[in-house]
Parts: sequence; C-alpha cells; structure tokens
Amino acid sequence: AHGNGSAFARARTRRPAERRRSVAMENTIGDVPIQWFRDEEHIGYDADGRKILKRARVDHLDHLLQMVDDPTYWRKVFDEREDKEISISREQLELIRKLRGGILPNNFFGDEYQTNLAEPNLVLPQAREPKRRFVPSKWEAKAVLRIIRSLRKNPDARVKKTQNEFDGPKLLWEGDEDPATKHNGLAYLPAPRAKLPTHGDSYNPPFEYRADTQVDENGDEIKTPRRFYDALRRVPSYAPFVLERFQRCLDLYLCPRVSKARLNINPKDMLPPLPSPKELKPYPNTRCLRYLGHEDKVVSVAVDATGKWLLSGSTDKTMRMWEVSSARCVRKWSFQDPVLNVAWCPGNGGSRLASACVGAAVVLLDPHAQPSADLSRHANAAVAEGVAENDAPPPWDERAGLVFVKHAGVVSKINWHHKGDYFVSLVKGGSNVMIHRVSKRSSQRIFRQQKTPIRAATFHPNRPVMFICTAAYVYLYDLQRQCLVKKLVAGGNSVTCLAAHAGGDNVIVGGSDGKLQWFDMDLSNMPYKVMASHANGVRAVAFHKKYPLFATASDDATVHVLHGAVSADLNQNALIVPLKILRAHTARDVEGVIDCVFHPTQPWLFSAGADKTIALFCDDN
Amino acid sequence: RAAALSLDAASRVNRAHRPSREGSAPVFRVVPVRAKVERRAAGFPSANPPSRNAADEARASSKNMGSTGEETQITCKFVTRLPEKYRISPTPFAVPGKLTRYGLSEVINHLLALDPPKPFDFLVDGELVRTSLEKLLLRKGVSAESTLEVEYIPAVGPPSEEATGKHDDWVAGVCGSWGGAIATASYDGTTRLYSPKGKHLVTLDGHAQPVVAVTLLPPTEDDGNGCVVVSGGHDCVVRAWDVVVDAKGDSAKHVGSSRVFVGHEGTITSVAASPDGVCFASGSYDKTARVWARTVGADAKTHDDEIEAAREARAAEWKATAPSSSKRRKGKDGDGEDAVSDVRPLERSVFEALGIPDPNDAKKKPAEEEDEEEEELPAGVVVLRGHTDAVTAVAWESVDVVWTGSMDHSLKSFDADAGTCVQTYAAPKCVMGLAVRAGGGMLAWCGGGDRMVHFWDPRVGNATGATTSLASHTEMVVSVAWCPGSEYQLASTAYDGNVKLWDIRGKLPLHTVKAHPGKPHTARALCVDYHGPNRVVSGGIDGRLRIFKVDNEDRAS
Repeated sequence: AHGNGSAFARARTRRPAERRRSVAMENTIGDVPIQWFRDEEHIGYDADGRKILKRARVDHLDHLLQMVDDPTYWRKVFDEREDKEISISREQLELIRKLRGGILPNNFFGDEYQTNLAEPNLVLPQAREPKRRFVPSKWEAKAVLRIIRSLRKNPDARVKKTQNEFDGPKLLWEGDEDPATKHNGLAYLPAPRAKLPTHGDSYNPPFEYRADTQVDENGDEIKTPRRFYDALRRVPSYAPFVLERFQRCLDLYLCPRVSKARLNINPKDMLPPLPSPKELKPYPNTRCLRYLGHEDKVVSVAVDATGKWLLSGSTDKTMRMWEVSSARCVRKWSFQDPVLNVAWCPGNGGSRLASACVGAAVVLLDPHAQPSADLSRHANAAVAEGVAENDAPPPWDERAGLVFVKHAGVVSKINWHHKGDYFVSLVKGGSNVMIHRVSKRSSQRIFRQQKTPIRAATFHPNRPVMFICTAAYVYLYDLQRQCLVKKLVAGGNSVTCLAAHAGGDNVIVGGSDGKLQWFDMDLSNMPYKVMASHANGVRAVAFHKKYPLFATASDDATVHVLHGAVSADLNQNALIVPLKILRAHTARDVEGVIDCVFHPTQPWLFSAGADKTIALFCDDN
Repeated sequence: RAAALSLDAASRVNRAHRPSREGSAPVFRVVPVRAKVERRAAGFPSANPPSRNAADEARASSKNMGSTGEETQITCKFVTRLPEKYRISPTPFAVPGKLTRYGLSEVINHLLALDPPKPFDFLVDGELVRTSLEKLLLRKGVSAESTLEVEYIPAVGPPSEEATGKHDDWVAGVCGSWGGAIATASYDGTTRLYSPKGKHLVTLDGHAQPVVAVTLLPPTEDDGNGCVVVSGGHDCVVRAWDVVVDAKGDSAKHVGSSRVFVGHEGTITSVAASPDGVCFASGSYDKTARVWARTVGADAKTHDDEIEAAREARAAEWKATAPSSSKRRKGKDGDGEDAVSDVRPLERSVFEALGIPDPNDAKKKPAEEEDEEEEELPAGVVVLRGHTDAVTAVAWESVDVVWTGSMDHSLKSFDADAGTCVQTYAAPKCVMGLAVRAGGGMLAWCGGGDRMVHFWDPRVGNATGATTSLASHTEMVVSVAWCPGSEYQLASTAYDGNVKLWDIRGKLPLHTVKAHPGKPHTARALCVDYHGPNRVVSGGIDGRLRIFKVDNEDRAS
C-alpha cells in the first residue's frame, strides 16, 4: 500500500502533462496558466463566458478519512484544471507503469516481439568489446593532421571558403536542368519517377475510393476484390515487415545471430593414444646389481654376444672384465692412458676378441687370457715408439700378445662391423674416420679432406653403408661406391652420439642439448620424432638387438628407457613410448651417466656412471 | 584327560558341556594366554613365534580381557600324522577365533601336556595357518559354524649357525648332497671339502680359473666312504677328484688321479650329480648341457701336461721370433727379461688365438680349418641340445630325467640316456637357478633378476601355466634348493645376503637368516643347499661357507 501511495503522489505532480494530453475538455480557459486562477473563486469560463466556479476544497483531514473509507482512493487523482477528481482505471494504471518502466505502452506487435528476443540466435555478442572502440581512430587523427598542416601551409584557404558561403543565394536546383551538359561523357539518365500512390492505394482509403473495380491502362474495368484495414498493424505484411526491419537493424549493428561457443579442448585429449608401459613389458626397470671397483668415472661399457662378460673402460686407466651375473671383476688391464672406449669384436662367437681405445692406440686383446704383469709398460712402449703421422696409415704393432693400432691423436671411439673383420675408429676432435681390417692388418682413412669434426661413426647393420655423424648432420656414406647416399638434418648443431636400429632404416641421435632425435629414413631426412626429455646433454644412445627397446643416457644422471617398435609395414610409423626413467647414479662434475648398453639377449640394461659404478637394470615385476 | 585340562598359569580351559552335534562329546573352551611373559614361562623358544603373531595375540588377548562375550568360537578338529605319542582325541574343540599359530600350538601342547613344549605348525586345507583362524575362515569363505579340520605338524625350528668355513675368495657353489662332507667351489680356483661340523677337510686345486659349480657323486657300492667331487668353472672343463673321508670324519684325502671332462666350449655354469651317482650333468654357456658317466674323464695329469707343453712350445717360438723387443725390455727394466720369459699364455698373438691368419705369411695358414664338423663323442657322454642360449642350471628329477634351465627363457627336461628333449616350459624370464623336488613333481626356479622364487609343476603342463611365486627377498634370487625328503620345504638365497626357508604351503617364509651380513652390494649370498634335512649350507662373496642347523622334524611321520 505504501508503494502504491508514493506512486500516486508522483502521479499528482505530473498532472499538467496529463491534462495537456486529455482529449475531451470541459474547461475552455485554453492555455492560460492555472496559477492565475489560484486566488480566484472560479477556475475558468465556459463556452458562454460564464464563470465556472471552483468546487469546495477538501482539507487534509477529509483526505485522511477518504483514504480510510474508500478502498479505491489511491486511484483517484485531482484534476486541478478540470477541477474534479478522476478515478484511474486498472488499464490506465498499467499504462502508467509501463511508461515509467520504459516499456512500450501498447502491445502493438503481439507476442512475436517478445518471443523473438528470447530466440537463441539473437543472443547478444559474447565477445568483449574490442579495444579499437575505445581508442581514438588513427586515420581520423591523420586526416585531422593533414588538414591542420594544409591550413598551416595555406592559412588563406579557410578564409576563402568562409567567404564563399556569403557569395550570395544559390538555386537549389542549379545544374539539375541539363545533366548532359553538366557531366562530360555519358549522359546521366535519371530513373523514371515512380507513380506516387493515391488514396486508392491506401490500406484504409476514404469511403469513396473503396471501389471493387479499377481501371487499367486500356480503360477496361478490372474487378479486384480488396480488403481494407482500419490500422496499419492489421495489414498482413505488417508483422514480417517489422521483423525484417528488426533483423536489418541487427545487421547494421553487426550483431551475431548464432552463438558460437569458444573452443574448449583438454590438452591431454590432443596427445596421441599410447599404450600403457605395463603392456610393453619386459623392459629394464629395477637396478639389480652394481659393479664396483673402478677408481674413476666409467666412460664405456660393452657386453659380449653371449651376455656373460661385460667390459668396462674407465679414466682410471684400467679396463675391467666383469661376470654379468655375479658382478665379479674377473680381469683387469692397467694402461698408461685412460680407456675411453671398449668394444667386443662380433666375430668368432662375439666373446673372443676385445678392443679398447687407450690413448693414441686401439688395443686388440684376448680377454680370456691372463693379462701380463707388465702390460702397461708394453702399452706405453708401443704407443711411444712411433706416433702415426697424419697421412700415413697407422701401423699395426703386435707385442705381448696384444695388437696396437696407432693413431695420430687420442682415439675416442671404435665400432665394429657386424661380421667382425672391420672396425672404424675416431680420433678425438678429429675430422676423419679410419677403417681397419683385422684379417689384412690394414687401415685406411675414408675421406681425403674433411673439415668438420666427426662426432660418431658406425656401420649400417646390414648394408655396406656407414653412418657418419657431425654436430649437425648424419651422413650415410656408401663404402662400396664411395659416395654420399643420404644426409639427415639434425637440428641443434649439438649431436654427440648415434645408434642405428637393427633394421637399418631408423637411427637415433642424441645431442648435448638433451634432445633425442629419431630419424626414419623412409619418411624424410628430417627427424621423425624429437624428444627433449633430458635436463642435460645426452651422452649415449643404444638400441636393443632383440626387444623393441632403446635407451638414452644423460648427464642429468638418468637413463631413459623407451619402447621403439619399428613395424615391417611401411605404412606404419615407428611407435615410440617412454617407459621408465632409471635413476641409479649420482652426478659428479656435471657428468652423470656416460654410457649405456643393452644386454644382447635379455631385457637388461647396463649403465656406466661418473660415480665410478656400473649398474645393471633388470625387468622386475 | 581331565588332569591334562587342569588350570595352569599359561592357559585357562573351561570345561563346558554344550548341546553339540556329537551329543555327549565334551567341548572345551580354551582361552588363550594373556601376555608374552606367560608364554615364555610355558617354555617356548623365544625366537620361535614370529613377532607379528605375538603382537596379534597380545592385541587379541587384551581385547578378550575387555569383552569376552564378543569372541568367536570356532569348532576345530585336530588331526595329525605324527606318531601315537603326539595324537589327541579326534573330538572337536571350540577354540577362540582369534587364535593364531602360536595359540593353537599352545593348545596342542596343553592337551598333550608336553614338557618341554614342542612348537607345532597348522594346516587348514593344505595351507599353513599364518593369520588368526577368524581371518582364515573369512578369506576362505567358510562358515564359522562348521567344524574346521586342522592338521598339526611339527614346526621347523629357527636355523642356528653351527659352523663357518673360510675361503680366500667368493664361494660360488656349494653342495651338501652327500652325508659325509660339504663341498664348496670358490672363485680362487679351488674346490674344498668340509665336514658337517665345519672342519676343513681337503682343498682340491686344478682349475685354471674360478670354479662356480660343484657337486658330490654319492659313493657307489664299491667305494664305501669315498665320494667323487665334481666341479666346473670359467675354464670350460669339468674336473673330478676321488676323495676318501676317514671314519671319524675329520680328515679326508684325495686318492688316485683326478679326471678332466673336456668338451664344453663355454663357461660351465652348473653341475649336478644323478641320484644314483653313476653320472652327472653339466650346463654351459655353449648352449648345451652334457651328461657324463663318471668314468669317461681323461686323466687330468696328462691333460694338464699337454697344455703345459703346448704353452712352453709357444713361448719358445715367440722368444725366437721376437728377439728385438725382448732386448729393449731388458734395457728399460733390469729384471724384465726374466719376468717376460716367464711362461705365460699371453705370448701367443691374439690373432693366432682366434685363428686369424697373418696375411704376410701365407705358409703359416692353419691346416685344420673345418675340423669341428662332427665331434666324435666317447661312449658315456650325452650332449643335450635344444636350448638357444646358455644353459645356466641343471637338475636331476630321477636317474634318467634331467631338467635344464636356460637364458633363453625355458626349462627343458631331457632323457639322460638318449639326449632327447621331453618337455619344455616357456618361462617368463631367463632361468638362473633351478631345483627339482626329489621324486619329481615340483620345480622351483629363479632368475630374470627378480626377487621371487617361482614354481612350476610339470605334471600340470604348460597350458594352464600353473606357476606360483614366493616373494620376500629384497634383491635378486640366485639359488634355490629343495629339502631332501620333504615335499614342501625349500631354501632360497639372494643377493640381499639372506637365506630363507620356505614351506610352499604358506606365502611367508618360515625363517630368514642373515647368512652373509654386511653392506648392500658387498654382502651377497651366492649359493645355498641342504645337507640332509637338518642342515642348510650357504656361500657368499664374503668368502664364507655358513652351516646352519635347522630343527626340522617334518618327516617324523
């Protein structure tokens, strides 16, 4: 009731406006302000000029009493001009409410208007107001600047223009009378004027135009039944017309019609479906044994073909042979230089001939024979006797049952051909590759001039091709035809190690930036997959010969074991699944795990660490 | 019986007549002991009850003190196959459901009025009771109302160290199959014999390289107290010595000439004597196993002499062909001449050793190139072929069936006479240790670098894959051995240095002995065997042979 009362009070203050709108008026005082009659007894004059007397005023007490007695009192309004009380109907109240609320007072358009607003395709734009709406236009600013500059340059221009306005009156239709003379070239032909509608075309013509017959151009009468409407909104085309207008307005406003949901995708859903590591067992996952004994970091390990013996080379200048199953150091060879690499010759059953990189020589030895007591002296003598010249082929020196193949610099890596007759050696920091043949005791270098340092070199597992790896590229060099076959592009310029899959078509390459790159040579000379999973540089990569496994050893003291299945089907890409991060070593002097190698027959992995140990990882449950 | 059930300090037995199915059969309510102290008073060995059980019972008994009304009674019928002395009446007893092995053992002791008390183990449906009876019934889904048949057997006592034998190097193999002595194989290249009391009897030297496997051929009828020690190692030959142990058993001597069995081309991994002692089998890294009759060995002395002669010949040849280098060595080092001229196998070139000819010297080409086509086998040697990788373990099931385990993830059984493969089991991992239960049946194996002891029953076959495994070791298991005469007991050892005794009817080990204590990776056990049912012997990298006495009366029946 209180709310209604205040509405009433506000209605009273608006009375003059309402009065102006009222149609039937009894008072004829016209537009004379009512204040002029405030102190008079009459309020105006009727048509005959007689005074219209004011009614008796009711005082506040009467108002109060009426308020109590009359339940419709709150709807009554005193019209000062007419000098009477007006009772407002419910419809009028609704009208007032709508007007005050800013709503269209009459339900002109039926319900369509409302339903249209509720339609989903008229959702207002979700997108945020673009920034440009709030920023002053750059082009306008430029235009203004241009005007300002031109004004500065020629200040008279403005004066002239303003003077032109006062040249005198001009004809509005000047130049319209003869368009052909005005425009050079094609004559401007105005479109024929449409015939203006007449009364007869109206939807609600005056009575005299409401004929059923019309006269056509030939003068014949055509009987056309017509319907007439008392209001425009009843014309049948009215509703679609309004709608269409509304749609056009929306078009002008660039209002989107269809609400488009923002793309919402879980990043995990974008990953390819990979099998769970549990389905890919067996793979090495638990450390089973540690091979303790080396006094400095172990830089190289190698397992023989039977899987019984393990060779390890260390910077403590010894090479050791271990029994794999019991972690027993069976033999130890002491040299004068660090043993940078060890390898088994794959021929003769794979466990009869071992090789090691000791200083500037490659040493070939029988690992099962007891090493002679003065081995290191022999080695020293052999190396000191004659350091190989750069161009001459390295001499083979046999002494004390060992064979020394001397090189121009410190030999860092050797790799055997799978038949066991050839091996390739790399000099540290050198840019040449030497191929040695055991049965002929001969050596040769395969490049004449080559500037880039070679980081790794290995034989193709089944073709007479050699992989030669520099910091940025992997070259496939055909040894028979002596030509380059392919060049794989490894990004990063930091490749350090390389391993070839047993099939020969896939190569993995590790870099000092911690990245592992898998090349599928059937696909492209760019990497098929690049994995940056290591925090520090990758030191060694290895493929398993039997199981679809490969591993990377890194200076962050971890070894990552991955599943890498190469399908025989050429249409199918290699499946690479990360399986396990093995942590068994501790990093020393920014070096973590330096070498890793798989057991030839079991799913086991050996890793050599800078913490002087070698670890064996087995597939525990 | 009434006297036996009288109250004492250890337990309170209420005689309560309940309306039972047996009608007049009396039902006894046995309330278990309250405290550990009281149990000690009952005279049980303190090491015997596992601490877990003791804790369980302490909890259970404290609960009983609080609310005796809630305890579940389980009707048990105790049966046994022990002699009459240990039998009790087959009438069912109601015992509290919270009773564990210890409580039940106490009940039986009480009923039998044994002094001193004797620990018992209990079987329900062929499974050792390791939890409370309540939990057992719950797991098996048996109603607590039904009568539970509980079989009791004498419990295996905790092993106690009896003696230690010291070696210079790792003890890689041990054999206790002959009652007279225990043989060990060591990485120092010797094989030794010890008396069961731990007294060193004899050291047998002959192997050029570490010995990893040893076995004892039990004496045949003609040699009474003598046996044959057979060992193999990294030098690819098997050697055998005849040893006679004197009557008192505190000294032994090597008699006759030792024999050598040449044929393997790879490291010997394991040797095993046949049950009748006539022959033995050896497994090697050349992917074969061989069965040798004990008589086919060549005389070791002539064999060694031949090798020595060849070596000397080589050395002489080398000295003749390389005079310049020896001169230089002399110049550098005073006594170098003597040191280098010392006879060493290394003087042969590595290429010569591998048969790679010298390209500059065509005359030196070895004449025999394809000589190893088909080796002429002497009678009494059977080669067991079939494995595709190294044979790492051999074990005899009976006098004519040999089982072999291999790195190629398989177990195969061979006919020892014909050398044909009879049965193959595709194991999930490589096999590194194998033991066959005497009389056949169950195979226990370990390997693959895992911490479990695996079992396979060849009678069940390959299809069902009815393997079970026991897990308790914390490092890789390397050796298993069945208890002679027992169908269920075995011992295992692992690189954690522990020897564990198992009963395959239970999932937990019976006993764990820290046989080779020390830091991890420096104290590993390498081998285990039984010496009779009451002794367990083990060897480890601490160079010790450990002999443990086990109180084992399971075969009393």
